[in-house]
Amino acid sequence: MHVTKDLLSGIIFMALGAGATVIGSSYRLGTLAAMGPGYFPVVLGISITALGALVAIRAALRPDSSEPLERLHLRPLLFVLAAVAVFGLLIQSYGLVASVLALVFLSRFSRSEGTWLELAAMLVVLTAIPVGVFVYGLGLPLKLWFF
Amino acid sequence: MDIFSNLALGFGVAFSPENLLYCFIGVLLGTFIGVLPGVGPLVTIAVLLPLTFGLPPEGALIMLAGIYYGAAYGGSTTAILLNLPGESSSVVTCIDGYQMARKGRAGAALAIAAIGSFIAGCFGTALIALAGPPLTAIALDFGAADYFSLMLMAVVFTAALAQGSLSKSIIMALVGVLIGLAGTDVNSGVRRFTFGAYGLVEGIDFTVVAMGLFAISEIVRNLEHSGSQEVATAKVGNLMPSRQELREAGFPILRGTLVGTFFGILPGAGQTISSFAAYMIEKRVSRDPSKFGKGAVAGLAAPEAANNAAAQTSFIPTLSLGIPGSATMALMLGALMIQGISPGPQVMSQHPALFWGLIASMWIGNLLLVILNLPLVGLWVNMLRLPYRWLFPAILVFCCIGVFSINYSPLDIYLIAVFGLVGYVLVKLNCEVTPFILGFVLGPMIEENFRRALLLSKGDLTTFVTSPISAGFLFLTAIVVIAMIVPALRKKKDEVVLDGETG
Repeated sequence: MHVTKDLLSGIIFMALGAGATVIGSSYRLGTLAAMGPGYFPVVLGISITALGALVAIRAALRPDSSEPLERLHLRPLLFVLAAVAVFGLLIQSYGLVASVLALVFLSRFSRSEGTWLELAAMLVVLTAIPVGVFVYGLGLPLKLWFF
Repeated sequence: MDIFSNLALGFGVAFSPENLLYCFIGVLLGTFIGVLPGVGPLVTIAVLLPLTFGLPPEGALIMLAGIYYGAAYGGSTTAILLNLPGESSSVVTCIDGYQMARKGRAGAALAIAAIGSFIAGCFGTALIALAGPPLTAIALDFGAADYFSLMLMAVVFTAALAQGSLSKSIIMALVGVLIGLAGTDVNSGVRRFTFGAYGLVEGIDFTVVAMGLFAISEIVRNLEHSGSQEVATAKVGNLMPSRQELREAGFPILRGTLVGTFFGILPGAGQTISSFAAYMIEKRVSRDPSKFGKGAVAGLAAPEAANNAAAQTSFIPTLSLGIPGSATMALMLGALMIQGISPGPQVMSQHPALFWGLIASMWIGNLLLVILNLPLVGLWVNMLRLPYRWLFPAILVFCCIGVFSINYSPLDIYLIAVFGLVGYVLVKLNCEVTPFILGFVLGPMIEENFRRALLLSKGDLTTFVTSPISAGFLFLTAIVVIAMIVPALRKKKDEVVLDGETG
């Protein structure tokens, strides 16, 4: 069978809705007049599953109603996400300077462009500006260095 | 309470030196970031949001509103000079604005856009001042059932007007509501969907979701188009529009203002529809429709005015009802909540200085936009030449530091990466994120009012139709859903919205 955008999104929504229904029903449900914390999530989960199934079935019956899947560009995706995650990993114990340097350095590899000199200039500028704005300008209590 | 004493209070607040400064900084930075290629208004606001955290509530909101108009105006600038719409609502601006620029009238086009926006902004602001108080008074009488139906209407309208399939957009809104529920349930204290993570106990911060879904995923998508596209910028030329151009712009600006005002008030309808509607109307009433698409002044002036009028009047539901009509307004509401103010009709009575100060500052902001931008056009043009490979690391740095400074929690940083991935995948699957974000913001309020309404009616679901206000909202919602299911009408909507994407 042909996997289209609609088919895949329908399946993802069904899984998500089913997951929400299962987790939601572990909370107390209550009644319509006195709803517990689980009631609304379960209603939502069931609706999402049902609508997701509708989208998936429609896409499966009429594959030409939706576009085929696009190619994913993994390089920018991976490097941008990794850069952000590494920033989160470093910020608390290694301070602002180290985490910004890592963020700029890693994000650079999401595209093969520019010279090393340019990268060096960007590392300096993009560390100096936020340090100036956030730490000295706005006085946010951010740790600068790893000590 | 009469409107003049309220406005006097507002102007007193807005003209205080600090607030004038915040407004000025907001407009300047908003335009500065908004004019950068590949950076839409939502990302601009999300990136600049952290700058307002340390300010008092009035200052923060005034600055954010300034950022908002600045970003919108920056979007028009790139549309006119580069034929690059920063957002769907400036797509129409591209059509005739860029043609004017190619004819060497770029300066005049920018000036007309600024003048049109200013006139529309003044009108919109006046309407907020007039309509805000009575609407708020009505809203104070709303019961839980009425609120539930109103929010349902806002979400469904947004889903219906989003691009692509209605069922997918509605699912997206429901998923948004679901994720909005994560955290501690206010009624029972139960921690829902936290997966044991302590950082999720208070729920996911709105800014985190917006940064991930819009900023991070937008960066990844922009990076896919490999190679830096060299853009040929048109020469700006003389800024003064000729007398004939001004005459041609006059009535279109007025008509555009009215169209924009109308669509701005409707929840979910927003700016895109209003600028398209204004363009269509101009083309229809024009004596020489063949000029459209070849640099017609009316084809630029009317949508720009409509766009800005809608941008202003969309503050009406946001401020008086606490219900945002667009993703951008949702961000503004999020900012309000970060400042510790719970949105809703009580804002006007509890924080009159904030409410009226913001309205007065809107007028000042629109004026500043004209004064500031016309002389600075040369600078903006140079900024357009910055390559994206310099810009995106800077945006990432500001996003990350900004998000971290909300709660000082690394978990928030991981979450923007997660939402960035989610946003990217959703866009690849043609799922609209705007209904999601609206659902996310309104989620907790929707659940709360749903529960309260049924508690009051002892579980009787007819409570939603026995209240006339609630029944009215549900009726309107049903009409929109039915209209979208009728194939002919849906095709028409797709034409309008899709034209915009390719236009």
